[in-house]
Amino acid sequence: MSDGTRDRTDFEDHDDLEGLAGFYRLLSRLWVTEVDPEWFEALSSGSLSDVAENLDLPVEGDAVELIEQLAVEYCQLMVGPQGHVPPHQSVWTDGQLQGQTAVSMQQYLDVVGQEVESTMSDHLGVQLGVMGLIVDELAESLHDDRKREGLMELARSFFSLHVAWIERFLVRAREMTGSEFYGRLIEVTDEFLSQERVEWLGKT
Amino acid sequence: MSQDVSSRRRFLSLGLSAGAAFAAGLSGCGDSREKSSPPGATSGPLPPGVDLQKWNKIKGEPYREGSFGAMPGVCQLPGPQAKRNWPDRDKYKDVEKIPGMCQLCSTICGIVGYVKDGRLIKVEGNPNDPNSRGHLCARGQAALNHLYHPERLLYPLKRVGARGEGQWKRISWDEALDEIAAKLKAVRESGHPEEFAFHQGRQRSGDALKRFLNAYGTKTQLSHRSLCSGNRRAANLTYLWESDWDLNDVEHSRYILNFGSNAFEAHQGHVPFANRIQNGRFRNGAKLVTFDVRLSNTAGGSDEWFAPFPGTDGAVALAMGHAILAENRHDQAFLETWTNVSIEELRELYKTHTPEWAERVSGVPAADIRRIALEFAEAAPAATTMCNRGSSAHLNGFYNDRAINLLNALVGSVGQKGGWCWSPWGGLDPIVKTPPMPPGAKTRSILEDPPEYPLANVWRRMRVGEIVYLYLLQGRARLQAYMTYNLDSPVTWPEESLTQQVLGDESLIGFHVCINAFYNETAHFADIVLPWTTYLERWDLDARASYNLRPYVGLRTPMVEPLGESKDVREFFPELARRIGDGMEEWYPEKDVREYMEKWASAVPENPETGKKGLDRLLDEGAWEGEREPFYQPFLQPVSESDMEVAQVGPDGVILKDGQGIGIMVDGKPVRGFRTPSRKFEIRSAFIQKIGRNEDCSELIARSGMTKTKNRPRDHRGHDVDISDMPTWFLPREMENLAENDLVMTSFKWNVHNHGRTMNLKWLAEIVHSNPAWLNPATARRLGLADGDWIELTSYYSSELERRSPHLKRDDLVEEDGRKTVATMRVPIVTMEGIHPRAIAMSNSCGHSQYTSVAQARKRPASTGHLVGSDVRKFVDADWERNMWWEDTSGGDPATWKPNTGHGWNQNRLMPIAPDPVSGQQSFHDTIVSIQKL
Repeated sequence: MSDGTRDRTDFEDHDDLEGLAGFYRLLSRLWVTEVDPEWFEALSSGSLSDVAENLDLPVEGDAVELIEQLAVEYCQLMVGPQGHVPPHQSVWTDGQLQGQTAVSMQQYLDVVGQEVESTMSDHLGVQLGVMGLIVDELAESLHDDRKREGLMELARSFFSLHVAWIERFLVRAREMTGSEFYGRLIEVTDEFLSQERVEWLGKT
Repeated sequence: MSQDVSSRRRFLSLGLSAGAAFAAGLSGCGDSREKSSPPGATSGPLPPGVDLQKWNKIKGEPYREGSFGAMPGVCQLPGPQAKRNWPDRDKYKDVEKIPGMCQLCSTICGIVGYVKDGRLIKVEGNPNDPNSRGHLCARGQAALNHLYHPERLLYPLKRVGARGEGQWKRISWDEALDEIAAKLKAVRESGHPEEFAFHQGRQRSGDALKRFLNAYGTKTQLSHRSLCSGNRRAANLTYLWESDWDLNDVEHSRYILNFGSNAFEAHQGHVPFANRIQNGRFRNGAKLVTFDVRLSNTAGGSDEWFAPFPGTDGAVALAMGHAILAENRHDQAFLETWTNVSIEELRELYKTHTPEWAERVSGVPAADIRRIALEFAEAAPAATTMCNRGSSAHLNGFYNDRAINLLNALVGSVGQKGGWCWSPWGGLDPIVKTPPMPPGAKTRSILEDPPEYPLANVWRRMRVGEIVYLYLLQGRARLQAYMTYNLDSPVTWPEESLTQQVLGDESLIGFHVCINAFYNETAHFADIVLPWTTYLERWDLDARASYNLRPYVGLRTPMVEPLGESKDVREFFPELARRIGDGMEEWYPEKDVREYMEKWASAVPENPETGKKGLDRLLDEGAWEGEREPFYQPFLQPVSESDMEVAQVGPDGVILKDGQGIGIMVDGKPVRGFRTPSRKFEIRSAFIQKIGRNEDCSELIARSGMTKTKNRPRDHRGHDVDISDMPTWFLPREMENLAENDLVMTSFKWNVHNHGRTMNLKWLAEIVHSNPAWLNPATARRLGLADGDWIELTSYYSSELERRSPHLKRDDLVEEDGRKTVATMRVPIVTMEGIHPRAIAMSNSCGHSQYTSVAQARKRPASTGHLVGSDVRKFVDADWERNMWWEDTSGGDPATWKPNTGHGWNQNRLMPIAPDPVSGQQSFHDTIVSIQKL
């Protein structure tokens, strides 16, 4: 690549990109809202239990109590109403909700084809989800050079403008949270996004 | 690869597992909350595909992270780089202009929002608004701060742990409404629906609230009117009955006599009123004379300013009346024809109230009182008084305002062009009718109608908000459920600590739902917090009593989509009603809010130029004003011949139809007269004297024709209050001989703040964020104080109040040296000539303990255990870091505190609960404080 970054499709095949998309979507879901009973069951003993174990996400214990505890911890960290770390990019870039960042996000959502139902489009969970969808599309376009190039450009642009900032959020979130679960999720997300930054932007 | 390959592989592998789980049906999208999050964030079905063609079109847009940080349209403080990127020539390209109505104070000015890319980027005044005429104050300009505040409530929250502990979890609207409905249903089924109280702060959706509460079956709707305007309204009603709101026609005046009103900065009429005052001065050469203990911006902008001793406005007004009568400068024709007292009775009333007497009690020179009185009479009928909380928020406030208003009758300016006017239209033009409302509930609660306050509710519901928490604490009432709405009672009510104590006690308030756009001091004590839309995201038809003396209809409409999951009561009350059931739901037949608004606005006539009518017309223009004549001299309007055919005329000339007064014979002609029992401007009010004694007033009420006026209910019996039937005046006993260190505390509002809801807006907080006490330099010298010194204030309970209102039973207050102490507070002082030497002033609005980090002027976390709003240090607001220069890092240490820093002090902490014994208005301006240098 002329800008110094590599074309990740040179070394990642369809399954890798599917895995990448899946991981984005996993993080997206864990950040965008609380762990509900269905997800708790999946993480603790169901279809995602291996994933949770591998990532050291602590989900063992009484389901009812733990779900409640995670909900409180999520609220303290992400929702507030006091002492939280705002998960909306506009707050970090514009000092307010719904800044021009949100306008930009809306443009990307239009491109990705999602019908946006919420006005809080610059929530970091949404952004991770969008990244997952782009990568998903990329996985299906490996044999179409033109489309692949377009998607790569789109992904780099989106990552640069709407995903890279999340690392700053994570630094603050790590300082704030006393939650074992979200503390671990912060570490995992940080490690993953650090790698992704190198892959997409060529920066360490 | 430069990455840790094993880590990388692990993520990709786990991602495949996760993807398989999604494909197998793990959704997590089952509840309403997640559905309302963008699907991109969830594991819903894949999108139809990325639209690369669209991407190719937009990718060249000049969007760069951080590049817009200093552009206009966002909520940055001006700061040192204010002009760097200004003006932006493209800012207003492709904007949509949407009309609305401001609600950052009570004035309700018409506004126009500039919306671009779905974002509101500017707000300005709407020139189509007949009342505000396109003007908008600084508060209104800060709408963007309000709408896009980073710490807005975006989701319903449920308390976890003890009330007031500050622990929450997010819940869905379904969960919230189910729980609230179950509680409210249980209250209703308990047979005591009145034990569900709705407590509103500033509200402009009265129809929606009334619909819900009527349909539910509770009349316990509590307001803050008694904190604001109860005495002024009651005084007006004694004279007029049909209106509690004088609309001084200052634009056409030649003389404006202002008693304690700060219309240039605050006042319910604020911008429209101030605009017309200045028009009157510049166009007619009107003279503006202000009496105020403090040099407000209105006082400073007046032709003359006098600082009377606190609470003596009524004495000055009576002395002016004395001077006018003494010089025979009164309007004899008006007094004889249109008032119910003789000139001799008036002379008797004013006999002892000489200017010299008034000078002794007020300190205003007798010669000036006499001169101004005669100037006022000379300018009449284009002369008017004006007053507001400055004169009315006293224990003698009812009588202050009675005495002030009477001056207008003396000089014959009542109802005259340029004079002291009113209109029967306090809000919307009656041409618009709300869709059918449920009948009112018949429940009773002493919280809503305390029996000790005879004039609080007889003409219209004014209520006595400040006694609610005291009565709950004393066990005089109980609440199973409490719903607060745009209310910040710990900050805006007197006795902050008592308010907090009651709000936090689950045995006194069983269940508390708070509806608000921000987490404030009331929300902190809630069980469920519902995120309310701002006034820029919701619907209302709205209007104030217009200074054009004719009604109008304004529209508040969503300029942008509500942020997050915030909702207006118009949206979720129908849902709540359906969940409660038992017929409540029948009062919500419309499919959505828009349909309701279309019905409500349907009578707005067509604009012949655009062909639009009803809601469509309002969406176009923002407001509509009918073509009625201004409400001048309404008492001269003729009674129709058809009415006269079936009417009877009594020996006193009062015309009755079906037993109800409709007019009076004057010079042989049937005219409307005033809507009082005598059909005249009632200087002597038999009604207030009788109603104070719980006597039957049915006949008087019938003669007035005011069918909504009622006798006091049976449960008021035994609570008789002596009310003078004639204007009078007294000085609260504790004021008579102030000790050397004692001062009278007064409060005020700034031109950039309302009482308690604007300190979270950083454009405004930068201008005013703190409130040191104002002290006259002579007083400071006498007490050995200098500018910037810190003092300890101790406030005392009124002995006058103790004598007049023994039912308040304040045995809980500690007695020291024969006085009951209320609270102490340490504050710095600023010395300035613009304050009466025996008064001390602190502004409202400051001293928040919640309500966002902006309101608390904090950049850094508070110490453990101290409850604070979310802290900006934890995210990046470069603007805040660079420009929030007023943070106070002294920790309250007077030695290191720097002037003009910090977030101030809640002055209401010092104020005792002190309702006027007649109307119940909180006496905010009477509290005696002693001061000690620290």
